[in-house]
Amino acid sequence: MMKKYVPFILVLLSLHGLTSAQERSWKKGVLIHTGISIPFSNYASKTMENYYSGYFANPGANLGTDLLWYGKIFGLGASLGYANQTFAREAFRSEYDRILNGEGETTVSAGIYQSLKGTAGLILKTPEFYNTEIMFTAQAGMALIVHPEITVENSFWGTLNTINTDSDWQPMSMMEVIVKYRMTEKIGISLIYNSNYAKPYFTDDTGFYNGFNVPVRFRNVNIGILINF
Amino acid sequence: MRRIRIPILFLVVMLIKMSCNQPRLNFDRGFVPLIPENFADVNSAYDDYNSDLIMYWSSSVFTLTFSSNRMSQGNHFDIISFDCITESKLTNGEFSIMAGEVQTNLVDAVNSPANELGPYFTFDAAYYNFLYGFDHEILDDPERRFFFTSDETGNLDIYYTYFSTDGGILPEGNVAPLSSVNTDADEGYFTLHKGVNDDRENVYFTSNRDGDFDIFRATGEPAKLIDQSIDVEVLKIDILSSDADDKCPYIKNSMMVFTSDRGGGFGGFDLYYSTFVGSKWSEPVNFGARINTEYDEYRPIIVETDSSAFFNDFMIFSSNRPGGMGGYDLYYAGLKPGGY
Repeated sequence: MMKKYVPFILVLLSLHGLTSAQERSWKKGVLIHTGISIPFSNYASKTMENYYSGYFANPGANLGTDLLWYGKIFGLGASLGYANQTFAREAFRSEYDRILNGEGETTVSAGIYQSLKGTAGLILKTPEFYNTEIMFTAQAGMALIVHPEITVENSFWGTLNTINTDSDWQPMSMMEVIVKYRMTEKIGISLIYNSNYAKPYFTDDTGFYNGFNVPVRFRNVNIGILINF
Repeated sequence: MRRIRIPILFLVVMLIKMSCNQPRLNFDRGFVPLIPENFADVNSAYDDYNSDLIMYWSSSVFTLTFSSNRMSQGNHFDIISFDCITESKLTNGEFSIMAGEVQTNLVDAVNSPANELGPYFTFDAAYYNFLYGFDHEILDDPERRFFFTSDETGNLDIYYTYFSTDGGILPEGNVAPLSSVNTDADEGYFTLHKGVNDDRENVYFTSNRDGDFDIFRATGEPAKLIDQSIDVEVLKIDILSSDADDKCPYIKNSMMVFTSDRGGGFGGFDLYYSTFVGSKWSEPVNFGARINTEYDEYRPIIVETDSSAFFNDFMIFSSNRPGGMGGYDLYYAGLKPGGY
């Protein structure tokens, strides 16, 4: 009867040991970081050849702040971030030219994809070595994602496509790696890499289905400053 | 069991929700490419030409009827029918038409050991609504007639029969010649010009009664259909007729398309169009190298699409150009938005 509780007890004991060890060194910090936002997968694809055509997202910029509360091995983190990805207008126009066999002159106007996210989750980290710590975080939360306005006009065919700006709140998940180098007891510099996923739904008043999903996938590569309290 | 049913149901709903992925459409409406495409689903190694169709629900579904000599292994032409569905992919712009042959009682009633050509339906909008079924107001339209051309008597004459679409395309009454228009010469390729004269029915056809084939207009008696009129006024339309053969007129709204081997074309029979402005037809214009080739292009028809679903209408015609399945094949090609 007791046998089946043995692994559970062992895990509890080891966790207790770890947290006890951490009690002496829990830290709180704010990480402020900025860098480039790189779309990937179908979100970045620049073809209309398939039924699930690409979404023509190009790299953009991002700005984020992480609240960290961490010990030697474990921690908790919360993140607030803004990211944008530009729209690959030239590639988009070129696909229309290919499909229309160059009939007429096509002009594309489009804004940018934007997202504002708030996530929270767990941190697993290495003990400090050479003033350096590596943190792995898995977070989930919500994001407000904005789809840009898109208009495609062709001198021969007329208005081919019109999508108005729309926004949607959707769950977002994030995986993050933070490499932190401690310069002083309070200040450190960091290299941050995170990967973000969401699937918002937007309306398209002139489209056949009146709406669509966008598989938003982007990675941020940032540098930042960590301030410990 | 009940305790695990709800979590399982929740997981299934979440999985379905996550797997739902409505793509973003790159086109608000579909379009039919302007380059002619072989209508492979309906063509055979024999001659396939002279089509017309009945369009159903939102212009996506239609019954195509055309002449083919496939059943007699090339000996004579009979009229056959195919049910067709148009598909326009709004993400990548692809347009296709899928088709499957169907038996119709109407076709069985008109076919003979002679050649049956130039089918023409005077009725082309049996609107089908998924919520309310067929629009019976339209189905009760008494003007549902099927005209065709046959050489059963030794020369080409125009024939007709009434039909219904209640449970298929069914003949109503006997097949009869259009005696008020037929002569000892060849007459064929009947087409109706709707809405020009509300009191008298205007039709166009081709005939070689003056030597070569020209395009004629016949006007019925007041308040009578053309097949009910005895005293019919027939007039050659000079602006549409040339010294060469001008055949197969087909009218949709204010646009007539026809075939001609007149000079100045690309070789053989070419397709031309003319528009009805005011009270007369404009000078015919060649469709150009996009449609016409040095080979024969024949019997064009205009397919009017639902403008809320398509940017342009399209045309079905036949051609014996190389690259087909053998003999004359049917092709479809988009028209310029707003017509030519």
